Amino acid sequence: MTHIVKIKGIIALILFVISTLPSSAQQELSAVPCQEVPHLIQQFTADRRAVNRFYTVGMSPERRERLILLYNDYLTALDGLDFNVLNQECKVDYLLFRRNLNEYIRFAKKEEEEFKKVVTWFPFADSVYALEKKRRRGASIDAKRVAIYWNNLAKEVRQLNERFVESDAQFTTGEILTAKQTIAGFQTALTSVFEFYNGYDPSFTWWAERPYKQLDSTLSRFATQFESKLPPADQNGIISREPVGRDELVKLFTYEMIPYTPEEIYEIAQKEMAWCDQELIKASRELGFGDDWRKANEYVKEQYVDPGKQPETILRLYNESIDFIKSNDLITIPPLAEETWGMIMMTPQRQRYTAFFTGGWEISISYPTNTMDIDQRLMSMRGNNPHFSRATVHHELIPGHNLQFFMRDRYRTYRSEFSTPFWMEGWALYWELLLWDKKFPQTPEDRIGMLFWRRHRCARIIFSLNFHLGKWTPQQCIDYLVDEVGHERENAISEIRGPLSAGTRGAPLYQIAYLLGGIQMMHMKKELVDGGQLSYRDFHDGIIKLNAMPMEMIRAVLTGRPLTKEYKTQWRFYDDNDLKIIK
Amino acid sequence: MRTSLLRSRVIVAALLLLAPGRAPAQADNEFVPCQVMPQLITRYDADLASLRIAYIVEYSPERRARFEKHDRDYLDKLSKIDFSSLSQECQVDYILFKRDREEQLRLSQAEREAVEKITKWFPFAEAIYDEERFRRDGSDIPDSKQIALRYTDMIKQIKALRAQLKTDESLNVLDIYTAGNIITGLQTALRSAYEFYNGYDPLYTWWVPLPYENLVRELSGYADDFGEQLVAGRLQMDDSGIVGKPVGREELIKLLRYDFIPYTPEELIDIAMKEFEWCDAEALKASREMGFGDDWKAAQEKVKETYVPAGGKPALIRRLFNESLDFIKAHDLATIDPLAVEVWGLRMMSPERQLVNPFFTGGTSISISYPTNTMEVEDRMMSMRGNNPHFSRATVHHESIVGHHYQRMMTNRYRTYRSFGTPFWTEGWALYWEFLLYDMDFPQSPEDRLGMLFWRMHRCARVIFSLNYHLGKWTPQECIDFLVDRVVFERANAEAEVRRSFGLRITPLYQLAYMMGGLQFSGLKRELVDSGKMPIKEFHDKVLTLNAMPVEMVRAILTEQPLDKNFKTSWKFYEQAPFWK
Repeated sequence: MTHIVKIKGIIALILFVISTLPSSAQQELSAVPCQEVPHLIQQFTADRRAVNRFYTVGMSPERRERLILLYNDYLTALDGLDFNVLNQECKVDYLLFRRNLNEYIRFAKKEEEEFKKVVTWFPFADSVYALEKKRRRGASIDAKRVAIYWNNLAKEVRQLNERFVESDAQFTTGEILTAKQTIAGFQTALTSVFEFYNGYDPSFTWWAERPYKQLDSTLSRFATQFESKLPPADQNGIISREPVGRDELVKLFTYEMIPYTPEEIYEIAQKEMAWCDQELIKASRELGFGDDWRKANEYVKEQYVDPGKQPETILRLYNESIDFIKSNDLITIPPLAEETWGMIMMTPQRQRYTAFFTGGWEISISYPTNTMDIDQRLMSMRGNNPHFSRATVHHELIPGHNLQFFMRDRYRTYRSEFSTPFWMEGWALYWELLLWDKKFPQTPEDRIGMLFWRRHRCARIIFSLNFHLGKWTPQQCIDYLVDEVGHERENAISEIRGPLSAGTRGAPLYQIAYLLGGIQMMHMKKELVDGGQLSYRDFHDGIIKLNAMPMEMIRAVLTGRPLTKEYKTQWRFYDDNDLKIIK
Repeated sequence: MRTSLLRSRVIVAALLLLAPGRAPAQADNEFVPCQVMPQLITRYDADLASLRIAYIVEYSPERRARFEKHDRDYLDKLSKIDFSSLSQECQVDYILFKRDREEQLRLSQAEREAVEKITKWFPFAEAIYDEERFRRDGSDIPDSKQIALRYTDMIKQIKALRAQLKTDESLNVLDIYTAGNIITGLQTALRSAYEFYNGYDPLYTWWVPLPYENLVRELSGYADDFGEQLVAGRLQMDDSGIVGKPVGREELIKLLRYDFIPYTPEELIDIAMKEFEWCDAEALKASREMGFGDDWKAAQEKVKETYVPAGGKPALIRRLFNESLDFIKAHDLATIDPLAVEVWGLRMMSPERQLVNPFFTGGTSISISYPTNTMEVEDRMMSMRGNNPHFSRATVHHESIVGHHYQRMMTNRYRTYRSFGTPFWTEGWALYWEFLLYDMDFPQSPEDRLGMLFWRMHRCARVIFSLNYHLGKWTPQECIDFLVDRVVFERANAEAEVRRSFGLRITPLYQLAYMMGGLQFSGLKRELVDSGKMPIKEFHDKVLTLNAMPVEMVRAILTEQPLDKNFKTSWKFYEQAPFWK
């Protein structure tokens, strides 16, 4: 970086602070940073809502093509704006909006490819779509013809079904999901036709009901056949999804503005894990367990409170954390946010997928009920011991998810389009990193609690990458979490079941985003706060009011770094020789 | 399909960029009109949403007081904004935001008084509110045995009160409505505590579930007892079976001022009568053309008989939609976003919904009312007659484009922060298009004209019957008879209409807002378009990009009328009438 750029950056930063931060002026942050780009984004989201509401048939080419047309229209509109005259924040909006539109198109094209692979099993698809299209416009209908057509179609589907059972057709789990969604789309189209005429049109009412019902249930059976082509479940009942592979990972990292290869990221996670291990041994020795950190970890887990006492424990931990944040003057907390966060108990059903408490508008406390098996109850209590909980209460509430939700509803609201786990989870995790550095943990037990989570986030990178690079099975991921992080086995299974099961297209980078986003935040903090340009409070207040976006763009706004229309991700935020992010 | 529109947006945006000083007037319409008011309103709404999550107990004193504080806090913030420094549009935002906060405080006070009047029926309420507050705080564990004993006592108390209630004759309709809301709130509070502890806290799980279930059941029975007072006969104004509560002249005037209508209820009835007379005269003309002489009711019967057979309605609606859209386009009356035409959907209304909605309704998609084989044969005939092509042709633009469907499209895209929605804008604008199209000879035949006049008379009638009812002059039965005699409603439809009009959750002004809002827009058009100040298309486009608000404020923006922050309504929009040729 040249000096000129640096100076410009500082000037821009000062301007930014003067114009937007409440600490320097009574003036509130403006409603929008400029007029045209927020407006365009708002128009787009309203248009997309309208299109989605009207084209209801999932997986249909018509719906897909209409959405692609919409994305292209808005790319054209963006193209008509003069990037260079926009202010910094709106340049960021421009870059991100264009990036999103291109990504939506990429996903639509991927969907189309999968659709093409399965649609050979549905030679009748076009006729089903065509009938719904006619009905949508209110056309009169020849009921007898529809009845005969549906009757024939049901026969055809039964034959296809038989051929399918006998065939040795092979599908990926993603294709099976696509096939099921395509069939569900046919059913949506059929039902839309049926409900529009049945009862209202005398001839249709006489002709169509029986063939409709037969066809609908025949299609449901066909969908079940596709499911039977899934690979068998492992001993934990998990059917693995396919790894997305290295190419896709690279594309997704680029989209999220992370300019590292999967291998580099893997190395970062390992380095961070190694650091955690050292700290863990220190804490373990202090507790008298020598180098056997697993024993120390078990000891901490045994500190759980009695059933019925978890809510007051969580409240106590919250108060400790919020007092700490206030007394260190780290961020402005709106009194209304403190007043209105709620507390509920997590239902036993949700606890099957979520072993630990979760945050947001309200904190949802995970703790056992009398309806759960005794083994489960003990595991739940051990996993939710006060030292583990103390490590993440600020992650889930304030300044983490609760405050994020709170601020996102109030500032730059049009940016909901740019939401990313690198900001949502990265910011929340950053507070764990920062509070560690600020010596929030009071005892070795507290430190072990914080390290448990920190190692867990390193582990999430390691298992996610190993899985999606095709190296590990879900079982290996679970074993790793139990053996290397010290998870209860049930808790580890519930951690893996969601993201790695077939039947989901869940974002492969989600689990990775926590630690990487947190490290990005730490880097920015080092640059701006430790560098003496901003106080903690101004730094944090500034970021939380920008709403969610990739951290590299947050940094561009805060520092005023020049942006070009062809900007590519370039921020190498992890340099362990130079930056010493981690103390 | 969308590119041309997008291109125009881009051109506007580009123009804006080229002119760094003051943005061109046209571009102004696209974006937020200033920063401070949109930001304040967005924050108010977001804060309110937060409060709603935290304070869940309906009708509890704590919740009411907290929401009042919220309104007062924002009045405070507002008072720090320099009104005179705001742009015209943001002055309007200021006035409306202030008005809404003050109205909320007024309604909240009314709720408090309504609750205080019947506290003797809820001696146990405070204890239940306390328990929910205790659980929400979460800093201590509950005394489960005490809770069980307390619930058992409450059950006894409620049983005694229920016996007393059986013979009580002091409660009016509003009291009963309030009691129902209080009980709902108490059940919310009880459930919140129960779900928080039961299963998780061993002692609570042993002590509380049984008395809890009994208490909830007893409260439900109590609520049913209150409800039964409504149908017991003591509170019926007549034999119609319709129970409501006339709000009285004083409250009507307050509500009218709130919605920026500077007329008295009596003046509004006069206006509606005059409009009704105009309709009568037009109906006679049409009736004569059809060969029915002065018996326009016979002519109307003939029109009703033109219904299409079962199954034919959707294609008809589509044709009518196309006719009306073509007409609007041919006369270049408004800019129509092609996406709105593309995504306008058709659905059939379920038989259940048709029980309360005899005619089609609009919005994102049109919901077509037409009979099914599961309805009684008489109802089927009534539905087909009421939904004949000429009646439907009169309102398809009201429900679709440029009416409700298009209004929703535009309010989702422009000035989205504005939360000043009012039926005077929503229904008034949609009805205004019926007026405009009638005047522009959209109806092709006397049958078409009678169709349009049926609706128009109906909207006059709504003013007359709803005001007379709320002034305490007419009973529900008189309202029904009036609709049947004067508008030739089917009796069942008239009963449904009157029942719907007098529910306690609908504003007493809703039914009159159609006609009055429509007249306001007609008056505004007279002032701006007929006078040659503004082309009609520009007028319509501008109104739609301002989002919903009282029509007098639309006028203030379009005419750049100087505004005071304590603005009071003064626009006598009917002075320039008649508006029709």
